[in-house]
Amino acid sequence: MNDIESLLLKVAPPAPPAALEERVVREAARRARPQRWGFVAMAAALLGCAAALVAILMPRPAVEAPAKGQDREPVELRVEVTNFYRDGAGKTWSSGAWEIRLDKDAKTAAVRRTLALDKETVGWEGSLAADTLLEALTDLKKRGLFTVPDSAPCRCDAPQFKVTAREGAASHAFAFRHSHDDHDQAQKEIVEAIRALADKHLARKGWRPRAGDSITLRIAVKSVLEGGGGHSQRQNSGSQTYEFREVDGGLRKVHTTARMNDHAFNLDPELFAALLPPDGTVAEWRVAHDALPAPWATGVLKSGGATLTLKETKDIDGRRCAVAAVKVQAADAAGREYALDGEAVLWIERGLLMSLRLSGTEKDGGRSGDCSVEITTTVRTK
Amino acid sequence: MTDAELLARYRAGNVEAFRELYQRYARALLFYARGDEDAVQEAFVRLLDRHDPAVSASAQAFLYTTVRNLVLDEKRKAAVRRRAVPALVRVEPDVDPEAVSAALDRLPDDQREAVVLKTYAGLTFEEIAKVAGAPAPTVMSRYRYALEKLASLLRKP
Repeated sequence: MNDIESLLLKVAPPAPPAALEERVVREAARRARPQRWGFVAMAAALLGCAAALVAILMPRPAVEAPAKGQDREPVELRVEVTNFYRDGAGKTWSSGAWEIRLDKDAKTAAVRRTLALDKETVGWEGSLAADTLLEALTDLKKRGLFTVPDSAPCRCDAPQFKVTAREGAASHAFAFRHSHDDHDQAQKEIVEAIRALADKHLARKGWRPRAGDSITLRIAVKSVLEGGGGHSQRQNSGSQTYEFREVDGGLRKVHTTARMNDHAFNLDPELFAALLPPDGTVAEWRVAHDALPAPWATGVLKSGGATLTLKETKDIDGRRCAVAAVKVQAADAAGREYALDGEAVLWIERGLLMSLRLSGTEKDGGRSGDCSVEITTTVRTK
Repeated sequence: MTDAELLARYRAGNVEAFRELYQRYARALLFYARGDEDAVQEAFVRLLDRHDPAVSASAQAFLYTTVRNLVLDEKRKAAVRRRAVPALVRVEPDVDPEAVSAALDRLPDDQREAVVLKTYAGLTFEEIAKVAGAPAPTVMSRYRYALEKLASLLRKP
């Protein structure tokens, strides 16, 4: 990289005006509509509407306020989410559940939130007064906690919820897939109300990233290829620095600097986010060649990809990380074939690659040679 | 998360997924558009209106190509109008961002385009070539000439 390229990286475009962001996002929100309704989905939606109508017309059990201080029936509210997603604040979540449980005659209810990737440790626990829960329960009953049907099926990849409610001998369960326009508002409001009630009373018990932290990432790469018989030796090494500022719970990239001997190679951590599991519950996932950053290859990869297998989740330097075995079988634009094995460490909550170590062979025509890659991310938290 | 995944989530009703996509590209896109906010907004809106999976998979290239076309149209309509190009901001202390901004602004359009897309948008020469509608070797030459010209401009007192 020459001096001018280095100089250009010492400055950056200014942040766009907040008003522009609001204008563009507002326009996007206005246009947000379900785009494709297949016949089955439409028929199911009509059935859902019919079921909702029946539920409205049927005589409902009287909603009674629980008697305070008297014998209390046990209460259990549970909201399960079964789709890995990134919420509106940009935080990464896995599948899991919110639970509120009040035992018979107890004065306080236990609150818990568990996520699949955190199952070795309970991240969030808390409690709330029985009277507070029972008041909320009365309101939830008015909204239809024990009567609403399943929401209309939806084929999109949004989070899918299942609500289970029990009070004494009474129980009810319904699914809430998603809310398009004004459909399924009752189910949506119940899900949100239970989640809000639980979240309000939860306290962090295990490690969690602190909101408001800014972090600086220095990502270093070293890739070495030694062709068969020494006919080719290529190396790429160096580092790039990315400063992320946490805004409204999400990471926002502020600027970058690069110290690479191959300036064309991009170590942007957002590229490596492609290595994260697509679903919090999967044990194995595949990253296609076109999404796989490959500092060892000539140009972009043209075929193949990587398979990652979750080995364990554990705390590394105070960070909740997923450790995955990585197997790469891919070919690059120059026709070189790579067979590499190794390990990746992914910081779950931040969605960042902490390290990637691969070694194996490169085959170029009839010749083959050794190939190794090391990527390490150093995190500095302000 | 890829651009295509964000767009799929947006189309399923998650507007915040779109905001993430916007934040991913707006900064460099607006600078590339020389501060033309209308062009940037229009590019994002057109992206939302395109349901072609191929477009979703290459959202970044689509955005830059659209902005380029819009800015060119705008130029035709008001050839002499000059916009106030947003100035670069300092990332490291030992640099004068105003001098770099001024030098970039003095480059021919095609050379500025190559530098901005390469340096601040992170596009490869092949990707820039698609946006600019020029062969990749031509884009590489423009980039090299731009660096030489920037070197001479920034060396002058």
